[in-house]
Parts: sequence; C-alpha cells; structure tokens
Amino acid sequence: MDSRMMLFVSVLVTLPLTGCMHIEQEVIDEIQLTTAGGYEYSEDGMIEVTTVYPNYQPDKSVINETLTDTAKLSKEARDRLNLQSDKPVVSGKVEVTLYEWKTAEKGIFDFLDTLERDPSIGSSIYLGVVDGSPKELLSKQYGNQDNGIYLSNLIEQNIETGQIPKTNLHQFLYKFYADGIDPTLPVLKQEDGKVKLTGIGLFAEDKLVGQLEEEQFFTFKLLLERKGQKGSYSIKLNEDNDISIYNISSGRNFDIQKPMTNSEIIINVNLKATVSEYQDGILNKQKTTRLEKEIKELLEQDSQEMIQQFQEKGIDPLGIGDQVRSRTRNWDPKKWKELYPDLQITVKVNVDLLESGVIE
Amino acid sequence: MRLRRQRRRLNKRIEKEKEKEKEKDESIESLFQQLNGSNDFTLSTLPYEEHTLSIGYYSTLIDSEILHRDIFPFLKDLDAISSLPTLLPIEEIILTTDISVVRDNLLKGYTLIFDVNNLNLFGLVKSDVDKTRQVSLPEVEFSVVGPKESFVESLDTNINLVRKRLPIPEFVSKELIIGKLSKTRVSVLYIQGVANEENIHTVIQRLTDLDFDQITDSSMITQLIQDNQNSPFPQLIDTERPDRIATAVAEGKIAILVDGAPHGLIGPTTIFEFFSAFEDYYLNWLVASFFRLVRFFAVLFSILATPIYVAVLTYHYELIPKDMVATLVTSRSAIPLPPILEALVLELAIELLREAGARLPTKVGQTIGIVGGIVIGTASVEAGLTSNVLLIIVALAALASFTTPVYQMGNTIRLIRFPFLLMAHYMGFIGVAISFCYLLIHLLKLTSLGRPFLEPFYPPRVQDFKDALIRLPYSLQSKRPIQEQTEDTMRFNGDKAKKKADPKK
Amino acid sequence: MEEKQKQISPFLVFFLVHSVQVGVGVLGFQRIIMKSAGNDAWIAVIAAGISINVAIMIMYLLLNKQQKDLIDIHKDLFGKWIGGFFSLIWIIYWLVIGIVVLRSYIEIVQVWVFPLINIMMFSIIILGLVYYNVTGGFRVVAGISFLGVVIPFYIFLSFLFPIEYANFRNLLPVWNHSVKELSIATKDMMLGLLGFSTLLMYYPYIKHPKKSQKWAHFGNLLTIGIYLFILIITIAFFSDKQVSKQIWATLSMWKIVELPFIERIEYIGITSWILIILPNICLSVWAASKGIQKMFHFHLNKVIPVILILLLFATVTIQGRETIDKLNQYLAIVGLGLVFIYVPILTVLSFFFTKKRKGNTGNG
Repeated sequence: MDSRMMLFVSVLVTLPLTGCMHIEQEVIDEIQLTTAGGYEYSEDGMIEVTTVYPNYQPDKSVINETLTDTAKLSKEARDRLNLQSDKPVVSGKVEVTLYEWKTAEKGIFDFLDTLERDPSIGSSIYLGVVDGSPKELLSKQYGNQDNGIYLSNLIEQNIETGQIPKTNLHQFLYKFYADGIDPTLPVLKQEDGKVKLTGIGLFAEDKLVGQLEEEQFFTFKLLLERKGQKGSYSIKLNEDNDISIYNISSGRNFDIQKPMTNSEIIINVNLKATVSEYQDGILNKQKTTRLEKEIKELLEQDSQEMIQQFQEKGIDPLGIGDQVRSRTRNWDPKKWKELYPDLQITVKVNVDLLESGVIE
Repeated sequence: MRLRRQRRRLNKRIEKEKEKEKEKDESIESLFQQLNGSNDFTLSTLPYEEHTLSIGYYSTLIDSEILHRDIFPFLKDLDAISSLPTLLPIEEIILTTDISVVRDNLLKGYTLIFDVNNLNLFGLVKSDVDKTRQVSLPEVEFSVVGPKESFVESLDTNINLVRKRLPIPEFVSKELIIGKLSKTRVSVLYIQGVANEENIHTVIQRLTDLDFDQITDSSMITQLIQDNQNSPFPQLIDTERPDRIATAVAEGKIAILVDGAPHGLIGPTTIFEFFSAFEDYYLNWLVASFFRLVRFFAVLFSILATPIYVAVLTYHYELIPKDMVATLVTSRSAIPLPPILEALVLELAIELLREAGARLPTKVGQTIGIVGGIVIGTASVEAGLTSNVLLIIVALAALASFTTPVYQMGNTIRLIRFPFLLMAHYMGFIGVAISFCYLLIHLLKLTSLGRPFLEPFYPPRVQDFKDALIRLPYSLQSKRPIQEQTEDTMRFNGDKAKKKADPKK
Repeated sequence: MEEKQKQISPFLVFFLVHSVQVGVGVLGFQRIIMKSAGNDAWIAVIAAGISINVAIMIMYLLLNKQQKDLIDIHKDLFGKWIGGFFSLIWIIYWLVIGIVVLRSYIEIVQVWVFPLINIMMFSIIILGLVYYNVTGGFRVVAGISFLGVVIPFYIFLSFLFPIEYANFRNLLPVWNHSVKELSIATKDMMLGLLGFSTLLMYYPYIKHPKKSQKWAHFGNLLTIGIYLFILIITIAFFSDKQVSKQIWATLSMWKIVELPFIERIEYIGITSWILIILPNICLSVWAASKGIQKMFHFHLNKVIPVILILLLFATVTIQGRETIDKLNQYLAIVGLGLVFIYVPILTVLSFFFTKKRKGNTGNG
C-alpha cells in the first residue's frame, strides 16, 4: 500500500510540471475584462458592437476605454475586437448589454443567443434599450467608476428601491420563451454626461413595440408583481393638490371565473402606504378616506388605459395569459392570442393609507 | 506478507538465543577487559582483613556522594556478598551470578561489589546519579488555566506525574527495553479493565518487534510504530502534559512514555483530537466548542486560502464579485510573476521565517520574525513582487496553521498546502477539489493502532461527536468513546450524577 | 459473509444507496423528463421513487433468502458456465455505469469550465483517485460514499437562491398530462436511479444485512426528495420552452446566484460535484472488480488496474454529446431490464429451486 501511495503522490506532483493539460489560463491581469456591451445595426445590416472595459490606474482611478467594430455575428465582432486590444477580450464579467432603439425594434434574440449559450456569462446581467446611440453612451466617463458597474448599479438600485420591476437576462428569456407573457426592458438615455432611466420598453416576443413613460412605472409595477414592496408614488389630484406616498406594500391577484372564454378577468390590487408629502393642509381622517378613494380611482383609470394600450398592441407584459394557462388544462396559446385583444379586463384597486408620517 | 513476518520473527528469536549462549561463555575477566577500554570505568580493590573486595563502577554514571556516604563506610563490616542487602542503607541491591546482568546494570549506574576470591556471586548496588531537569511549565502546549506541569527527561518522574493523578492499582505501567545501542526504557501505561485488550497487545507487540539501534525521543517511536509510516499525518498524539496523558488513559487509551523524552504518546487517536487543546477541558463547554470550531476552520482556511486565490486568479475570473475586481486587478497589475509563483515565493518566505525563528535562540528568533515579517512583506509589495491581497492571505493562512495545538499536526498542515497549491495552478478549482478528495481518501484509509482515524466522522458514531468537533458538557460524557472499544464503557453513572444536584430550596 | 473487520454498519447502506443515485444526472435530468411530462414531471419523480422502492424490496427478498452476493447466487442456481455468463452481463453493466458517469462529468467540465481540457490526462487523474480509493477495500469505498453525501450537502442550499425568481404558478394546472406521458417520464426518471443495484455485490459486507433494508429505502427516499426539490425549483424558475433548451438546467439555475463574496456559484458546484460522482465510479468499479475476482479468482488488486485501464480507454474513445446520450439510453434500457425483469425472475427462481434442493437433501 505504501509504495502505491508514493507512486500516486509522485504522479500528482509531477503532473503539474508536465503541463500537458492544455487548459487555457486566464490570469486576471492579463485579460481585458469587458463590463458592458452595446449593439446596434449599422446601415448595411452589419452589427456594430461596442464594448467598454475599465483601465485601472495605479492611483485607483478608473479610465473607461471602448472598442468598436462591425461584423455579421456578435462573437465574430468580439474576435475582431481582439485585433484592437493588447490583451485577449473576455466576456465573463459583462454586467450590462445595451441595444439601440431601432435594433431592438428589429428583434434582439439573435444577440441574446450568445449570452445564453456562453457558460461564462451569468444570467443576472442587465439588458437595456438605449434611446440614442449605445456607442456614445458607453464611451462617456461617469465619475470615477467602471461604466459597466455604474450602469448595473443604476439599474439595480432602481429595482431595489422599487422604481422599476425586476429585470435581467434570465427574466427576459423566461418571458421570451413563455407563451403567456411578454418581456420588458428598461430604457436608458444619455443626456449631458448623465444616464437616466426614461422608460420601460415593451416587447412583443423579442421586438420592441413601445414604451411606458415614467408616470406609468408605478401602476405597471403594481399590476405586474404578485407581491410588491417599497417604492414611492406621487399623484397630482388636482391643480394645487399633490400627494406623495411611500413604503408601499402591494398585493395583486387575478380573479378569472371562466378561463379561455370571453368572460371578464378581474385584477384585484391591494395597496398599503404611508403619506410622505401632502400639500393641502392637515390630514385628518375624513381627508384620508377621501384621498384613498381618489387615489383608487386614479390608479384604476391609469391601469385600465394601460391594459387597453397593451391589448391594442397585442402584447401581454402583465402575464395575464400565463395566469389563464395555469388555470386551464391543455392551454392553447394560439386561441389565446385571438381572444386576448377583445377581452374585458377590469382592475379593482383597494387603497389603504396606514400612516401619515410623524405629523397629521 | 504474514508468512514473511513470521519468518523474520523466528530468525530474531534464534539470534537472541545465540547471543545468550555467547554471554554465558564470557567470564568476568573478559568483561572487565571490555569495560576498561573506557576511561571512565573504575575498578578498585579494597583489601580488608578478612577478604579482599573489588568495586567497579562508571564514574560518570554514579553519584560519588552515595558511594562515599552509603557504601564505603559499611563495606568493612561485610562478611559475605550475600549479606549486602541487609548491610547497606540502599534498597535496590541485586545479587546475581549472571555476567550479562552485571554488565547491563553497570551501564545503568550500579556499583559492582564482589569478593575477589569468590567470583560466583556479584552484588550490584544502585547508585546512579539523578541529574534531571526540574518539572517545569509546559512550553509547547501552554495553557492559561489548568495544571502547569510538564514532563521531563526522566521516565520515573514522568510516570510519577501520571500515577499521582491515577492512584489506583489498575493503572499499569509495562516497561520494555528498546534499542540495540541505547537500551531505552519505554513504558506502556494503561488501566487494566478499561483499556481494550487488543489495543494493549497491538502496542506491546509493535514495541517488542522494533529492531532499531537508538531511540532518543518519543517522536521516533511514533514514526516507527504508527500504522502508515508514509503518511504526513501523525497517528499518535504527542503531548508534554501529564494531565492529558492521565485523562487519555482514564478514557481507555494507551500511553507510551520513553526515558529521556519529555513527551508522551497517546493512541489510538482520531484526527479531531489533534485540534483539541487540553485547555478545552478546563473551559466552559460553549467556549471550548467555539474555540475548537475556530481551530478547525483555521485549518481549512490555512489549507485552502492560497490555492483558491491562485485558482481564481489563474482560471476563474468570473467568480470574483464585481466590486472586488478593481482591488484585485490594481494589486496585481504591476506584478510580473504569475499567481502561482507569486504565491510560492510568499509561502516559502513564510516558511523561511518560521524555520529561521525555530533554529535561532529565542530572543534572536523573535527579532527575525518581526523584522522578516514587516520588512520583507512591505518591501516585496512595494517592489512589485507580490500583491498586497496575497500577502494578507498568506500571512493569515500561516497564522491559522499555528493554531493547531499539536505541533506535529501544524507542520503537516503547512506541508499539505503545497500539493494543493500546485494542483490549483494546474487545474484551477477542479485541481483543488481533486487534492481535497485525495486528502479525504487518505484520511479514510488511515488508522491509528488499527482504529479508524477519521472517527467519529467516518465511521459515523453520533455518540462520539460529544467530544470531537465540539465538546459537550461533562454531564453528557458519561460513556467512554466507542473509538477505544473499552472493556468498561461507563465513566460514571450519568443518571446518578444528574441527581446529585443542590438540595431544592 | 465477510470478515467482521471489513463489514460496515447497516446504517451506512443509506449513504451507499443514496450516493450512487445522485450523480451527473441531477445536473440535467429536468429536460429529459419534462419533455414528456412538462410541469407534471414531479409526479413522475414520485412514481419513479415508488417503483425503485419496490425494486429494492425485491432485491432484499432475494438477498435475505440467499445471504450471499449475486455471483454466488448465479453459481448456485445456474452452475459455473451459465451463471458465469449472467454474472458477466452484470459486471459489464456496472462497468458501463462507471464509464458513463465519468464521461458525462468530463463533458460538463469541458463545456462549462475548461473547453480545451486534455480528456486523457483528466481521466487518468480521476481514475487515479478511484484506484487509490478502491484498493482500500470496501470499508473505504463506503467511506467515500458517506463523505460524498455529507460534505457536498451545502450545495443543495444554494438552490434556495433561485427561488427569488421562481414562479410557482408554473406547477399549475396539475395533471395536465396523460398517464402515458407520465409513464414515459417515469421511465426516463428511473434511469438515473438504477445505480443502487451494486447492492447485489456488497450485501455480504453489511453487518446485520436484514436490518439494512429500511436504510436502503430511506436512502432512496432522500434521493427522491433531492430530485423533487430541484425539479420543483426548476419548473418554477424556467418557463416550459426555456427548460427544453437547457442541457444542464441545474447548472443554468446557478447562473443567477450572486453572493457578496462570490459570483457564479456554478463553478463551485461543478467542482464540488467531483466528490458526488467519485462514490458513483468507485462503487461501480468496486462491484465490477469484486465480481471478476470472485468469478476468476484473480487477486483483487490486480483486477482493479485492468478495469481502470479499460475505463480510461472507453472514456477517451467516446466523443461528443450524441454518443454519450446514446450510450446513456442503451445503458438505461439494459438497466431497467436487469433491475425490473431479471431480478424478480431470479428471485422467483431462487425461492423455487432452493426449496426443491433442500427437499432433495432432506430425502437423501
């Protein structure tokens, strides 16, 4: 037994010296870690890929550098980017990929294929639509920070504080592959050296068909998430009477009596919140009840309009189809597609203002 | 295999018998001739009225005070050698006719007295000089609370230190002589009726089968009798604390003490015992358990930290959290060496510091440690030879490896880091995992005196977990560990012990 | 019965049965069973678990009656030549299990971690581990099965992270598929669970073998629990069409996990999986070599290297996804036949013949 063990140890020790394992080394300071990528179609139908990578300076500051090239396939473009780079370009630490508006309108699934296929890319990276040129957005410097991390923090922060619904590569693909729900992506815009979240892009399959404005974020999130928390919302009730609420906890459930028929679908939303700003004097009990009613009506009206908009476009970002599917055996997506635009969908909101802050 | 061993044993027996015959042939004259070859052997003749006595001894082995105070004054009243025991105020006197006994005892510090005219009876009087160190503080296994005695180089003192903790007749000390040249006295200690008979036989068998010329320390015995001599893991615990030996023996283990060694050995043992300091038994069980877990994780950290650093930086950049990328890249960007060389250089530097500190006198050693640590560390970072992140990891890993209470185990842990490191460089994480599997299988195969080394983890014995990774309160420790397969499994009556609470108010 | 020193306690059968059932299959079984059973696949998992439990029961019926391993049973019932032939089929079956597990794992490493890895060298290293383990005897093989279950258990906790993105409505509507579809899924599910048949070889190494039966059942239950847990999370995490694209859905699920000190936990998962597949290979190699040793009376330590070299050649020759898949399918059909048809027949025969023989000796 002893001699055998010695043999094994010696084999174990000599193996690394022989080095015939053919494993590609990727030493962290000898690779170009790209952290964000931007895609757009150039006029001749080629793909223009822009990647940004941080150049860490010895004094701990970061300079963002970009590489741009055009090619037929996005991985082909990456290979060609290597021609411009002093270190091999790798995509394992990509945090955000951005798509130009018009490119997104043509469909982005072809770009996503490589992200899904490549094992080195995580599925929690963020995708975004750019109102403008992604190349321009990525080549700007935003403070002393890596652009990829800056953008991903920007989106992550807004998800965590409840401004926009959860989104990432996995969620996009989930909704893309699912029959009863359509994906959405945040829309970013670069203005005066700052990036701003300006909308939520609505997709039909993988094609961008429109966007929700900033004012609609809250209502959309309310309808999309089964259980929501955090977030804040400001409502203009009339000319000089604004109210802002925060610390919202919301619940949503579907009431579908007869799935796959023309019968009405009711979405019940429960909203509990605290008042954070009120511009019309003291908040007493009567006023609160009145406010609750006003908010309720406003929200119901907004949601109704939004759903109508969805139905007209034939998209279903709220996943109503998925709700119907889970209530029907042998669900037929084609029949649902025909039914959906003419369905009667009603939203019922129940608002509860629990607290009014430290003052009345 | 077994056949060969039997044959070897047979050969040995034949040789021994031959030697005995030879000894019988030799006469007292030839013995003196042999002994006189050494200058410190003294043979003097004392002509008294009735008879002429001859007295022989090694002047370097005996205490001349005993000779002058307790032997010489009485000799002139001696009528025959056979009345020596009644005459001298010394209790250990041997009367023999056997020349070989004479020789052996002379070498142990006895004084030989015989009548020149009667060469048939020899008297041997114990008069050896007892020059040993005082019992002092334990240095290797220091503890803040608990007894502060440690073993010394004298076997008798050491057995005394244990026996006074176990004043029962069942506590047995079996003495053996090992070493062709050194004739070292080795004692096997155990409690009859508690220790497993098979274990006792194994130990005594292995010790008697030893054929070695010189035994100078107990650690040589460990290396010679442990089950797998090619394993870097020690399979017997080495301790300098008599209280630890006493407790181990009471638990049903077997201890080995070696004359001339200030350390005792304990077996059978498990890997977890190497991570338990004896102080754990003197602290509250919660505190003790916490420290044990800390030590255990320190060992894991010590083995895995640098290899993981090397693996991640060489192959798996995807794993690094996005906020940490900047730190790692900046710290490494100026360094020309690949991660493995960087790590090896630092690890070896730490080993050098340790080795230098251990070989130099205490005070110089401390200085070397501090100077080396600070100066070399900062300088190598500033010179751009190593990254500061790695410096922290290596220093912590080294520190963690020093937390193991048993010195030998600490060395083992520092050694097995290197194969892990090489494999991490070779195959990244998978290399680390393969090394880890290899380590696990090795530990699975190891035995200590034929008992599984990984117990109670494997074979899983829930009962023995009470004193392995954690130490449960004494009230739950009423049974002796299964590992020792003791003859008497109960330490005390657990139910009775619980009842003996304070009287209820 | 074997020497007492070499025997293991009946409680360890729990780990022996469980560890061979959880292997590379866990990483990618979802696609296969959801192909036919969709969101009802969890029913198939439970059904498969029950059938396996029945198979374990039949096996114990046979073994408790005979009190010896499969090779000896064959010899007793069919004589040296025919019995030897049947034994050889089983031995080859176990060997192929070893090959498939090793090759599938290497494929995962190839695709996910090191695309250029030298298969030959990598197999040599892993088979070196297997050799070091198996030469330690059955006690050490059982040991690695135990550690291979206990140590990597933390891995399964990481599947709690994808729950953040899970949509459990995907499980509805229940019973959306026909019995036929479900039974196909059940069959597909069982393929990964058949490794427990090595029980036929190590039965004599169990201390009180009759007591071990309940542990074998519990081991199978734990396996089913783990498969069920992962499957339900998969169903909720992916949409139906999405999962059909994932070859290793379990690994793809890990891609979402981001911890403060580590991103991309799938690398940790794949790495830790070595400890999970090692018992698989070790136990099947052990069973095969033990069988050969008993049949031809070679020395065990001489059989093992030969078997490992065979394994090495097989792993290096098999290339590409399709071949591995095909091999897996053939293996599965043979396995099903052996466990669910051959063993029951053998059990009936053994009851019939031993009674008769006893009667004969009684008369004579």
